[in-house]
Amino acid sequence: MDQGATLNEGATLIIVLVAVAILLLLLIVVAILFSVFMRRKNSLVQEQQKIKKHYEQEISETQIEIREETLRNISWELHDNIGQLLTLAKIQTQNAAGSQKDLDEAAATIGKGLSEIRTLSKLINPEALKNMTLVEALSLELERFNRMAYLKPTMHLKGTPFIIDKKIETVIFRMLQEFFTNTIRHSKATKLDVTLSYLDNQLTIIVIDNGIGFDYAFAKAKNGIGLSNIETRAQLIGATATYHSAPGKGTQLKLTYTSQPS
Amino acid sequence: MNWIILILQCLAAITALMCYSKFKAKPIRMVVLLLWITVVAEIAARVYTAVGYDNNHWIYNVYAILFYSLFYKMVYDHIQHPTRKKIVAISAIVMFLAIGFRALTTPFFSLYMVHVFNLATFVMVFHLMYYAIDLLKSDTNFRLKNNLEIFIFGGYLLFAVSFIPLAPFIFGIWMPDLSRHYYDLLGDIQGGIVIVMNLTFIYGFVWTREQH
Repeated sequence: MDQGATLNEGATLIIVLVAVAILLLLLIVVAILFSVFMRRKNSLVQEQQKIKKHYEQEISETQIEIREETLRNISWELHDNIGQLLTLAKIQTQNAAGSQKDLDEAAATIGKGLSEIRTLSKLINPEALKNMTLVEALSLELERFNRMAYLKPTMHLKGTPFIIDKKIETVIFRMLQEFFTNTIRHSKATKLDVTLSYLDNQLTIIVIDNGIGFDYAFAKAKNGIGLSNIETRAQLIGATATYHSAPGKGTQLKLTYTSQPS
Repeated sequence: MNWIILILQCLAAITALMCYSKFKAKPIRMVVLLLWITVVAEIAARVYTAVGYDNNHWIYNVYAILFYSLFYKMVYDHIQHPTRKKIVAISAIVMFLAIGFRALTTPFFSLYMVHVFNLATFVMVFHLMYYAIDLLKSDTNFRLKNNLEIFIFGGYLLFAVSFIPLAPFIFGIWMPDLSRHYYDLLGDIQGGIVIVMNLTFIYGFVWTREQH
């Protein structure tokens, strides 16, 4: 009887020990799995942090580029446009020799210069841009080109404009401004056609000039004429910017932005 | 064996206190209290028996209630995700309701916690698994040297996993007439695991970096 009880106890003990061993083994397996998954998660987190850091660096670099580009544009506008008008006014005043007609012409030139300064100030000032829609700002800019006889611009609007975040609108306008500046300064174009299509939630802007065009791959490799700048800015707002150009065949910029439902 | 365990428990509590500045800014700081409560309960239980009382169960009963409430709170504080936090809180509350109900049906000074111990330990394992899931799903970069929690929770998990199958025999719920030899053997296995647990704590306290 005692021997039977001892055997029974022995068997129970073995079962208990096996149970403990199995649970400890399970714990080890869980610990190994935890360690493997944690390592994988860590590498993913590190990769995300790296991408975030790179993205932030790109943003700050782009901001610096935008600032420098804006300053370059102001300098160019002041020198080539307003500077020229004031020089002309100076010559007109010097040559007036008391003639009322010449003085009126000089006054008109100065007035034109002042008006250009006002428009320029409006198109540069972010606060002023906030009070305008993208279509209004573009119209103002194209009117200015027309007035200054830089080239002959046209603008077409398709669909009904929908509301886009002001910050994004400003970035889109700055990208287009950069493209216009490049067209005026480098392309020798005489015509500029801007088409804005507001369809569903998508805004598509196609800008075409009839200038000398360029080899995209070559220009990209040389990191020239603000190509990367426009593309990076497009990426930052979740838009896409694509160029189509070839030497002698003009340039086309297609900008697509899909508005996210708020 | 019992003395070795007590000495190690004291050492773990002292090391925790000495290294407290390393982890005082994190919710794991509560482990210092847990370790000292354990030391006080163990010494009190020994003194109580030494002065001639037979039944020191009430000391372990009080200790168990304190230990599990603080431990559940500590795990709750570590979990970040609101849903998982809620699940841990609800399971802890249900556990304490069960303990409260048990108080109405069993004399507190004797067998009160015996049956509840296992369930409480099971809930502890469940909470620790939830903590592991929370860690895996978090977006922070995990480094062992910065995580004393892994040593503390890992140590307690080791203890809990072995305690669940051993406790019914050690407390005499199953096979109360188990021979002394087998009883001691099971106790020694349990003791061995408690030693490993305390060594894990001490290593964790000493090896990990200051945490913010």
